[in-house]
Amino acid sequence: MHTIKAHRLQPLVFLGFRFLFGKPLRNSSAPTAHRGKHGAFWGAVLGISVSIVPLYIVLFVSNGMIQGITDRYLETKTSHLQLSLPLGVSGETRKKLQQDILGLKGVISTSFEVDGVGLAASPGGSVSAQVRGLDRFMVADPGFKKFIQVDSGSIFPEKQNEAVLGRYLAKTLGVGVGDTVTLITLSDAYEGQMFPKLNVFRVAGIVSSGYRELDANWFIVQSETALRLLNPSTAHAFIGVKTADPYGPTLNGIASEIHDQLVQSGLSAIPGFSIRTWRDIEHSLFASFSSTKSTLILIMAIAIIVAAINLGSALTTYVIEHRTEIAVLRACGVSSQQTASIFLLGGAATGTLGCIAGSAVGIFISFYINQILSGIQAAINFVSRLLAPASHPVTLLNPDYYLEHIPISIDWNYIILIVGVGIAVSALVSLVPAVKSSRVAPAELIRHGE
Amino acid sequence: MNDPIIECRALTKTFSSGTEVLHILERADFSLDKGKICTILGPSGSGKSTFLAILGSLERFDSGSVRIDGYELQTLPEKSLFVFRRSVVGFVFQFHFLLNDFNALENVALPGYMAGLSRNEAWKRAQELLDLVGLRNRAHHYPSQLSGGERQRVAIARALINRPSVVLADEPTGNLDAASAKELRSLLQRLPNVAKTTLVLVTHDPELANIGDTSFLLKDGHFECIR
Ligand SMILES: Nc1ncnc2c1ncn2[C@@H]1O[C@H](COP(=O)(O)OP(=O)(O)O)[C@@H](O)[C@H]1O
Ligand SMILES: [Mg+2]
Repeated sequence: MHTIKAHRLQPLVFLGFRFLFGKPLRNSSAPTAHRGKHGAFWGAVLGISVSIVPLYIVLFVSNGMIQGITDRYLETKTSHLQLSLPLGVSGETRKKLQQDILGLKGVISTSFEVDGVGLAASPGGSVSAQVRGLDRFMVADPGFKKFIQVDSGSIFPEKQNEAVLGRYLAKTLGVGVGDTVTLITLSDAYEGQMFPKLNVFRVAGIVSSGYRELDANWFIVQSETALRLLNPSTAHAFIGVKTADPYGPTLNGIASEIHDQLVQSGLSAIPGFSIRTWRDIEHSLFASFSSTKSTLILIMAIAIIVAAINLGSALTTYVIEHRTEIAVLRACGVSSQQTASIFLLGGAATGTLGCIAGSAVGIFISFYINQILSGIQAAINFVSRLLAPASHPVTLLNPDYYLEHIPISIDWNYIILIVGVGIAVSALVSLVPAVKSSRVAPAELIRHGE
Repeated sequence: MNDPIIECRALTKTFSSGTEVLHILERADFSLDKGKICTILGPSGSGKSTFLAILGSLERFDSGSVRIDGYELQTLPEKSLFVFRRSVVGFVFQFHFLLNDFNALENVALPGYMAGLSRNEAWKRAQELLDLVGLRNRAHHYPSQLSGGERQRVAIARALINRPSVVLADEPTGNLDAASAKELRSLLQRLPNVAKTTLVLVTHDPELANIGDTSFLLKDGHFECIR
């Protein structure tokens, strides 16, 4: 019967805004004594916006990090699908398989890879190396080229005795292009007996994927070389398959088509043949990424709830301190539903203002996070050099664990979700002051001051 | 024919605090004709303010009946009292109770705006009412910039915004100096004429009590007509 219609909203907005935020400063003739006491609401707006900013940064930075890391894994190492092969499979069988897979819809490229471990040594030191035997198809793949940065030399070892090293492996070993490195692998060529194999490689290139965790120990050689050097019991050979959409639903379809091919050709019966998607292969890595992200978001969400409760208590305090004004309005014929709506709308408006301001700042900071971080880093290092000239430069995001450049993509779904939840929570906490205001009895006015 | 605009029959009101029961009104009768001024006197604590609050539906009563401008207050549910308040009565208290964050014009206009007048209409009426109470030039002043008498006149203008059939004033000059009280008195006296309303006025001030067409003394829970 007394529902609020749009044109009934205007007086509530007029009254509520003035109550909570005071008179707009422009064209205001209000005595200065009446200004400033509305600070609580601007404070609540600030509280909400400040609490939202880190949420955006964490969300977009962690999304960007996870996306960036995932892309790098998929394009430079894991591929989208892996068809594992027994080491002894003939080159002919393998090439036939690659051709069949390339014929499938949605497949962009295939490449052959043999992986294993070794020990890389140079006069500068020795360190365990992840030996990757690649073929030319891998380095020709646009995804691989996109994420691999060549520091010096070439991206692929052109000769059997050449190797391309990951940036940090080269740094640890203290070698550059043209230097030589010894790779020590274990071989069991003599009936189960292991003995070390030493091979000298010339460094043909130094590369980086931008994610140290991924490429720190890369020792890239030709796949034939890897087949020859690596211990068959620990080496892994596979055909890496790149598809048009590794994140979409078509990936599993392609995987099962490849499986069908294996069944038809009778290969599936041979141990060692198996097809897996990148999600199967890197499952634990991405599970830990997303649980870290969830934890961070949970902490940030608690900050928003705290800010909302702060808003609710500011409004409740306001109602308690302004009982008389509310009673006056009621004595003048303003309904309890109207006064309740004022505080409900006021709370929601405060939340909305806070959410919008916080979103704008949060999105802005997220967008420029790389520049901001390097600016802060430069400032810290500048100051610390002034204070202690011998100090080591500080790196805010240790590149051992983080991408050197965070790829930020702004996702509108998250923005809508955060703003929506922020407004809803603000309205929810405003229910308390709204109900409180509706219980104010106008009769107290006649006994005012007695 | 002269049907009274206010008619109370066997009105009973008690306050109980703990075991003590305070009898404010005991089967009191009261009636007032349209367009009249009625003044109510009585010792402090006799229940004058409580009676005004009952007429204004700010306070409920125990038994009896109160009919004002066709509304039977005893039958109105709490939820719809605001309709009665916004359309039938206007209140003036001893304290002005203006809202500090709003200027005089806005203070007067607000109850009209909240009651459903358009913004234009509410502000236009408010300006007319400020003219009526002699504050044409004070429209954009804030309560803190007005004198006590001026604030009380703004409060009277506010009570008139929804064109009430009854104005209830509870010791409106109680806080004012003699000169301001005198100005207010003449304003109140003109009110039934200029605002087409009926005035119930509670006062201690014998001079103000004089403006009444009728005068009652509230004592021991009953009204005694003294003029
Ligand atoms: N809510 C209440 N609870 C208990 N007693 C009350 C309440 N309101 C008023 N009273 C008492 O009722 C009596 C009448 O009060 P009031 O109407 O304000 O008198 P007046 O205006 O004539 O001075 C006083 O004794 C007052 O203490
Ligand atoms: Mg009184």
